[in-house]
Amino acid sequence: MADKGVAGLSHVGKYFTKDKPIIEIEAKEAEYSFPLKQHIGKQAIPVVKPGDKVKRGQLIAKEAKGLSICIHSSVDGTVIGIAKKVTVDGTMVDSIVVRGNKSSDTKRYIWTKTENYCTKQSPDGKFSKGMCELIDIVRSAGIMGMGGAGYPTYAKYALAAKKSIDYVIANGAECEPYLTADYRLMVEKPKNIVLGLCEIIRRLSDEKNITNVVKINKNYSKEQKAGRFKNDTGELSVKGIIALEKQNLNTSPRANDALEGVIRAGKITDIQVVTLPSIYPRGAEKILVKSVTGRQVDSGMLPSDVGCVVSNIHTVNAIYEAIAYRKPLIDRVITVSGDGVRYPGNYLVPIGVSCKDVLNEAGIIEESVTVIAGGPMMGHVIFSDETVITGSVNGLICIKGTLCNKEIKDSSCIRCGKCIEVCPMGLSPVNLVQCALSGAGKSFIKNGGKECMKCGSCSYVCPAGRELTAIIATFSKK
Amino acid sequence: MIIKDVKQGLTVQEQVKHNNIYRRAPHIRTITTTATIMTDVCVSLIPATFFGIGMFGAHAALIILTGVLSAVISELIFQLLTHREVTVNDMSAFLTGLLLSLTLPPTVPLWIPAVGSAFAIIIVKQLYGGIGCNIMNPALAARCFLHISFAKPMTEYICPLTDAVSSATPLEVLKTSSMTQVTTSFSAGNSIAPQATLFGAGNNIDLGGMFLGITAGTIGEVSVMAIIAGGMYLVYRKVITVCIPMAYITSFIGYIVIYSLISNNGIDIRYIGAHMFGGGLLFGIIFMATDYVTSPMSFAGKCIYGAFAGVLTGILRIHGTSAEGVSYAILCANMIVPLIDGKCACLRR
Repeated sequence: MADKGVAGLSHVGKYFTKDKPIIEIEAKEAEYSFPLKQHIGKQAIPVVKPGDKVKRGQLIAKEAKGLSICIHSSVDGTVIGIAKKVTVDGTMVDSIVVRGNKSSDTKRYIWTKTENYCTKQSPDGKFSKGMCELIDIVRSAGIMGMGGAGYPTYAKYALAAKKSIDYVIANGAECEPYLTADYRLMVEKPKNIVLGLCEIIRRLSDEKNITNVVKINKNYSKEQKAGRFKNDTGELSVKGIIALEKQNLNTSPRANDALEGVIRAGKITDIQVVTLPSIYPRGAEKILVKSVTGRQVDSGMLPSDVGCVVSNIHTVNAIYEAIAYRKPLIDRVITVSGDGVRYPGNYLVPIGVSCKDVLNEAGIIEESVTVIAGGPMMGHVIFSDETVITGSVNGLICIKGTLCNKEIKDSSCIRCGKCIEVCPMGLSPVNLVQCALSGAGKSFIKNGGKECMKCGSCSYVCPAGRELTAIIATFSKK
Repeated sequence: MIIKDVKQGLTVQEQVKHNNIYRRAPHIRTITTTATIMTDVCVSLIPATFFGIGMFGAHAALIILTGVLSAVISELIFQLLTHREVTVNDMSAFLTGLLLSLTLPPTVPLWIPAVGSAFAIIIVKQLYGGIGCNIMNPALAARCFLHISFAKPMTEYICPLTDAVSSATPLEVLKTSSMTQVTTSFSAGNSIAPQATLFGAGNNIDLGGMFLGITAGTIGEVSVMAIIAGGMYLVYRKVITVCIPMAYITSFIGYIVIYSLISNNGIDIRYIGAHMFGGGLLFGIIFMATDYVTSPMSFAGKCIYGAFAGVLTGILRIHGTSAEGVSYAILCANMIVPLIDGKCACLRR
C-alpha cells in the first residue's frame, strides 16, 4: 500500500526556488491580521482592546477552554479592532487586526510568560519535569502543526506522552510539487531541526521511562521524578527520525548531507535521517509512518496509537526556537513560486501578513495570475489578495494561466483503473465517486470513503479529467 | 444527485456545469488523456496494420480505410442526431474501426467493414451510452455479428503473397486433422503423438511462418511478431499492464496441457505453440481483452477475468465446432466484468 502513488511528481516545479536562500520580509506599515481560529479546535479569546499598543511577540489572544492555541502579534503596532478576514481555505474568521509600525525590528521579540498550564492542569504531576517544561513552552509559544492541518502541537505531545512512543518523526518529505520551504529550512537550519528533535525525544524518553518505572514499582523516588532516565545502554528509549524525500541528484546542497553533518558533529546516536523514494504523497502522516517504521495506521487511529509522533520540519524548528530563544510562533518560511512572480523564492514571513504584501515583495506580475495557497495538489486557489498567511500555509504559487496540461472537462470514465492504481489509501476512487453521485452514503462508507485524505492523486492521473477528489471530498463533508 | 456543497449551496453537478468545481485541488494534472491513450493503442497497431497490408495487398488497405471511416462517421452522425456531445476527437471510434478491420479476412467485400463498424459504434457502443458505458468490446461484438450473419465471406481465408487461392488457417488445419487423427491413432493403439506429422516447414503448420506472419488468417492477426511488438509498446507506454495477458495465456496453456494429459495425447510443445501463435489469440489477448472499458479495474479482478477468458478460449477451441474461440471467450468474459468488479473493486490492498 505504501508504495502506491504518483512517482516523480514531487520534483515538478521545484527548480524555481530550490536554490534560493531564505529571505526575510521586512515588516511594513501595513495591516496584519491574526485569525482567532487558524488551527483545529476552539477559537482563541482576544486579550487586547482596540487602541492597545502591542509588541512583536506579545500575546494578543489566549487559549479558550479545550483544544486551542495562544496567538501572538508578529509586529510592533496598534490594535485596530476585530474584523472578519478571509483565510486560505476561503472561510471568514474573526481576526485581530494590528496596524504595524514602520520600524518594526524583526530580530527582536518578547516572550510572554504565561501561566504554568501543565502543572496547573495536572497537579498530581502526571508528566515528568522535562515533559512539563516542553508542553508549557510549546503551549505558551502558540505552536501548531505547520504542515497544513494546524493541530495544536502541545496537545499532540501531551497525548503522546501518555502513550508509549517509540519514534518521533520530523516530516521533511515535501512531496507537493513546487514547494521548497522544507528543503531550504533543512539545508539552512539543520542544527535547529536536529537539536529540536533531540529536545523532544529526550523529554519523551524520560516520560516513557518514568511511566515504565511507575508501572513496575508503583511508586518512584523524587529523583526519578525529576531526573533523566536512560536505559542501561545509555540510549534514549525514544528514537528520532528525520524523513525526507530523495532529491534530484543535481540538487545541491543535499538536505540529508546537511542534517547528517550536524548529527555526526554532535555525536547524536538517537536520530537518523531516512530518505524516502519520491512518490507523491509520501509526506502524508499515515503513509509516512508506514513507510518509515513499517507500522500500519488504520482508519480512526492516530500515529501515536502505533507509537509514533509526526511533526513537520517547520514545527520542530519552531519548537527549538521556542525552547532555545524563547521565541513564540510569529513567523514561518513559505515558498513563493511559479511563473507569475518575478522573484520566486523562499521567504521568511511574519504570520498574519496579507498575501498582497508577500506577493508584492516577490514581484507579482500584473496580469491575471492564479494564486494557489499551499501546494498545487492539495492547496486552495485564493480569491482575495487580503487573504491572511497563517502558520499552516507553506507556499503561494502564482501561475499565469493554468498548471493543468489539459482542458479539464467532465468526460466519461473509461474505466482504466488508474485511480485505483495510485490511491495511497488503497481505495477505489471511481467506485466512491459512483456512490457519491448516486447519493449512496452507506456504500460510500463501506468502501472506505471516509479514509480518503484528499491527496488529489486520483484526479491527477485521471485521463478523462474527472474531478474525483473534489467529488469525494464534497460528499465526505456531508 | 443530491450532494450540496457547504459553501456554495450548489449540487456537484451544478458546480461541474458552472465550472466552479474546477477551482478545486489538485490544480495540476497529468498530460495523459483519453485521446492520448487511444492514440497510443492506434500506434501500437501500426506494425500489425502495415504487415497485413504488405501481405494481403491493396484490398486489405481498403478494408481498413472503410472500417475506420465508417466507425468515425457513424459516431459523428449518431451524436449529431441525438444532440450529444461529439466525442469523435477522442480517437476511440477510430480505434474501434481499426480493430474491427484487422480482425476481418483479407478478401471480404467492402460493405462488410462498413456495416460492421456502424454496428459496433451505434448498437454496441452508443446505444449503451457511449464511451465508457458499453458492456461488450464494440469491435469484437461486431466481428461476431458479422461472423454469424455473413458466415460465407467471413470464413474465406487466403494464403498471403498468393493470388486469392482459398486456404485453411493453421488453426482449422489443426482442428480437422487432430479430430480425425487423434481418433484414428487412438483406435489403432498408436502411442506416437498424432500431430507429429503436421508440423515443420513444408507441412501444413509452420510455426516459424506463423511467427513471421506468412500464413492464412485475418488482416491483423497473422504476424505474431508485429502483434508482440505492439504489445511491448503498450506496456512500455503504461497503457496496459501485463496482468490480463499473463493470466489469459497461462490459463489457456494450462487448459491445453491438462486436456492433453487427460486425453492421453502427451504434451507436444509444437501443438501448444500452434495454438498460441494461431488464430486471433495473441491479437485478442493484447488488443481486445485489455480494453479498459470492458475489463475489470482492480488487480485481482484482472487476474480472474484473464483466467476466465483463457480457460473459455481453450474449451471453445478444442470442444467447439469452430476453430476459433477467442472472440466469443472475450465477449463472455466481458459479460461477467460487472460481477467481478462488484466483488473485487472494493478489495482493499
